[in-house]
Amino acid sequence: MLHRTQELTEPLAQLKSIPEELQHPIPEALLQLSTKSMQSLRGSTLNPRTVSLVDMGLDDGDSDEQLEIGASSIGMGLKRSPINLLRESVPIAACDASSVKIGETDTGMIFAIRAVAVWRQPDKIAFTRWGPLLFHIPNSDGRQEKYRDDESRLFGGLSVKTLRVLTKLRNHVERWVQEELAVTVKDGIVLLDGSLTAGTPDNPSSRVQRILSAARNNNSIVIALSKSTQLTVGGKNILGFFDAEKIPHIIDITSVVENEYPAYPIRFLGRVCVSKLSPDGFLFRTDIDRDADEQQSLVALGRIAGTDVIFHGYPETLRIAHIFSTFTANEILAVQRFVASNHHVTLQSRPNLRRSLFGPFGTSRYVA
Amino acid sequence: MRIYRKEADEVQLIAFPDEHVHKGDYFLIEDPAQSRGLLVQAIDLQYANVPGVLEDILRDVMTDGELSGEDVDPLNISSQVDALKDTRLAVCKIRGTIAQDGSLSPSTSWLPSRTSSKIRPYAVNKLIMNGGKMPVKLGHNDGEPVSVDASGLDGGLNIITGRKGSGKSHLAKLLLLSMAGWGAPCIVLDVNGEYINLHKSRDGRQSSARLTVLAPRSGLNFSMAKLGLRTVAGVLSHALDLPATSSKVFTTIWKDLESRGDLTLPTVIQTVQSWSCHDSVREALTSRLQVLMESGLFDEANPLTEERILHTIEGGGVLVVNLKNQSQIVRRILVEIFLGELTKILSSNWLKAAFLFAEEAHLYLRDTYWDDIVTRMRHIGLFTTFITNQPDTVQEAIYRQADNVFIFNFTNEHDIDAIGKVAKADSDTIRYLVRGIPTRRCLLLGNVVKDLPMMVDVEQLDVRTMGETRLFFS
Repeated sequence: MLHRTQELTEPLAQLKSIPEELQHPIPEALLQLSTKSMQSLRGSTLNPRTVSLVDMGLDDGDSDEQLEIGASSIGMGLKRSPINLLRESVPIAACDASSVKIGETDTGMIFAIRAVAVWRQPDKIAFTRWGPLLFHIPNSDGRQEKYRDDESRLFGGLSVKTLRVLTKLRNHVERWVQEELAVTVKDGIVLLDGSLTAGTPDNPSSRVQRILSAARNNNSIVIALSKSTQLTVGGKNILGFFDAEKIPHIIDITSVVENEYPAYPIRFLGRVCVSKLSPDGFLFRTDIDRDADEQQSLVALGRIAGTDVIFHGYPETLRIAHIFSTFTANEILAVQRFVASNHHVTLQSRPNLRRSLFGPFGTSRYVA
Repeated sequence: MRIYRKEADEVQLIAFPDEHVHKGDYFLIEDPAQSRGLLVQAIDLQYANVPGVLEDILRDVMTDGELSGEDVDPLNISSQVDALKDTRLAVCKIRGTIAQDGSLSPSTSWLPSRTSSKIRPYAVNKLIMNGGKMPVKLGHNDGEPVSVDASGLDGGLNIITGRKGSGKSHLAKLLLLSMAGWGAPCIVLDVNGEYINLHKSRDGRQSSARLTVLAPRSGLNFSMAKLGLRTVAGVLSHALDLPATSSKVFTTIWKDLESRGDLTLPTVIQTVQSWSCHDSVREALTSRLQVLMESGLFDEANPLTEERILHTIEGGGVLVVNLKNQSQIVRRILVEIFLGELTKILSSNWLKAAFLFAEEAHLYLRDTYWDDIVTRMRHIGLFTTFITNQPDTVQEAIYRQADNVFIFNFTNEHDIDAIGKVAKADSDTIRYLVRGIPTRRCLLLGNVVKDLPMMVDVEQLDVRTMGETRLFFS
C-alpha cells in the first residue's frame, strides 16, 4: 500500500489524453547495440557483483548535477511565489531510468539499464517498464583496466571511461523514454528526473530541445525535479536559505545561476527554480521549460501539488518511476543467472582483496 | 539443485522452481571424486532467503491494487526474478552413504563436494524391498509402488497412529490381510466391529481371506475348568480388581472344587456363599463372580477351546474378537481371558507365533499388560500392532521399543510430541513430515523400511471396511 500524507478527496475526472498502456517497443537500434555488445562474451568468465541484504534499490549511474552559487548572489532579492493547490485533473506522466553493474569480465564490465514511465489515471497509476537491457562495456585496451584506487572510488568503482560510456548509454535510454512521453501526453505535464541542463557530448542539448519541443506541440509542459538538492550557495546547501517558509512556494533562481555560469557549452534549457510542493515537504531543485511563462508554471506546479504530490512533497508518479526503475539485489542475481545461462559465461567470484586483508575493518564501497 | 550448507545431520539444498522436491523425497548427493553418494531425505521445504526478496515482494504488492502496468522485457529477465523468488530451500536429513555397488551404510562421516557433486532424486524403494521374499504392497510414493517385506513385521512391536479419519484402520486392515495372505496367524481385538466383513469385497463378493468372527454369546464362551485357575484369578484380580485377601480365599475354594471335579461358575458362586470366611470377602467374591455370570462369557456346555482358536488362525486365518457394544468391564474380562489363552497356546509351542492387532488398546488393556506385551509375550511369539488415534494413551516405553511405526496426519502439538519419542527416527523428521500430510498418506519408520523413513500413499482396499465415520449430512 502506498503511504499517503495527503488525501485526495475529489475524484479525478477521466483523462483522455493518455492511453491505457504505452505500447512503444524498445528501438531496434538499442536492442541491437545491447545484443552486439554481449555477443563477444561467450565462453568467458564473469566476476559477479556481490549483493547483500542491505542493498536496496541499486542504481550505480545515478548522479545529480551539482550547482554552486556564490554566497553574495543570494541576497539579490529573489521573488518567492506561492503555489496554489489545484484539483483540476490533467495528465501527469513521469519517467526515470536506472543502471547497475552486474559484474566484471576479463575485458570490461556488464551493466543493466532499465527505464520506466508512470502516469496517473483516474482510479489508478499505470506504468510501462522497458528492460533491463544488458550492455558489455569493454575496457579501452581490451584488458583489465588499471586505475588509481582513489579515482575508482570517486566514481563508485568505475573508471572514468566506463562511467562516461555508461552515462551516455543511460542518458540515451532515458531521453528516449522522455521523448516518448512528450510525444504521447497531450495538454498535460511531463515530469522528468534530474534537470533540464544539457550541452555535454553525453547529454546533447539538441535531444533535450527535441523533447521540449514535442511537449510544447502537445500543449504540455516539461518539469524536471532533482531527487536530491545539489544546489549550494557558498558551499552550503540551498535548503538552509529557503526552508523557513512552510506553504508551497517557488523561487526562481535562473538569474542567479545564469550570472554564475557561462551560457556555453552547458545550457540551462529550463528556468531553474527551488520549489516546495507541500507544507511538510522538502525543497527540490525544479527546472521548468523556458517557454512556459510564470503563470503557466505556477498553474502546472499547482496541479502537481493538488493532485500528484503525496510523499514529502515529491510527485508520486516520479517517486514510483524511480522505485520501479532501480534494481533490487534479487534482480541483479537474476540478471547474473541469465548472463551465465544465455551467454554461456562462467560465474567466478574473485577474492575480495580488501576483505581478505582487513576483514571487517576494510572500508566499504560506500566510503569515498 | 545445489548444496547450500551442512550442520550436524542436516543438509540444506537449494532447489529451483523447475526442480521437483516434496517433503519425504530422497536425494543422492553423488561426489564423483569419492565414488560414493550421501543419501539425504527432504523433511521440510522453505523459501530460500534470497537477498532483497522482501523488496521485490513489496514492489509486487504495490502493483497489486492501484498500480498496473506492463513490462517490456525483451530478455525475459522478470521470469528469472520470479524463479529466484520461488527458489526453495530443502532441509534434508542425512540417512547414510550409498557405495558404488549401490549398498547402503549408515556412515555419515564424510562430506561431498559442494561444487562438483551432482544431486539427483533417489528411489529408496529398491533398498527397502532389496532381496525381500514376501512383499506386502502398501501403496505408492510419487507414482512408484511401495512394497515392504512381511518379515519386517515379524517378531516386532508395531504402532499405527494418526488422528481420526486419517486412514490408520485402513492400513491395519491392509497389513492384516497381507500378513494372513503370507500364512501368518492373526487375531484382531475389534472395538468397533469394523473388521467383521473383511472377507467380503465392496460389491459383496467373498474373498479368499479366512476370517472367523467371535463375539460374546456368539462363539466366544469359556469354561471355568478349561480356563484354569491362573487365567480366572487373573481376570478377577486385574479386570475386576479383586483384593489380594479375597483372591487367596478364591484360590482355596477353586482347589477344593477342582479336587471334587465340580468346577463351574454356578458351583463356584454357590460354594463362595456357603464358605466359612469373613462377610466382606464373601461379598467381594460374590459380586465379581456375578459380573462374570452376567457377562455371558461362560458356557460350560460349548466352550471355546484352545484347539479351536488354534484351528481358526493356523496357516493364515484371521480371528476377529468383536468387542462392539460391549461394556468396558466385559471388554477387559474378555481381553484378559483371550490373552491368557493365547499365552497358553504359544507357551505350549502349539503355534510358532501369532500377530495381534489391538484397536484402541487403552480402552481394554490394563496398565501392567503394556509391559507384558513388549517383553514376555514378545518372547513367546505374540507380536502386537497397536492402532490408536490418541498417541498419548500409549506408554512411552512402547514408543521407545517399537520396531515399526506407521504415522498418519497429526496437527496437534501434544500428539506430535508424544509420537516424537519413537526411537526409530529423530523428532525433527516426525515433526516436519507428519504435519499437514493428506489423508491416507503415512510415514513409515522402522525395520520394514530399513530405518529409512518413507512417505506412502496407502493402497485402496477392495473390502467392506466399515471403519469410516458415519455421517448425518451425506
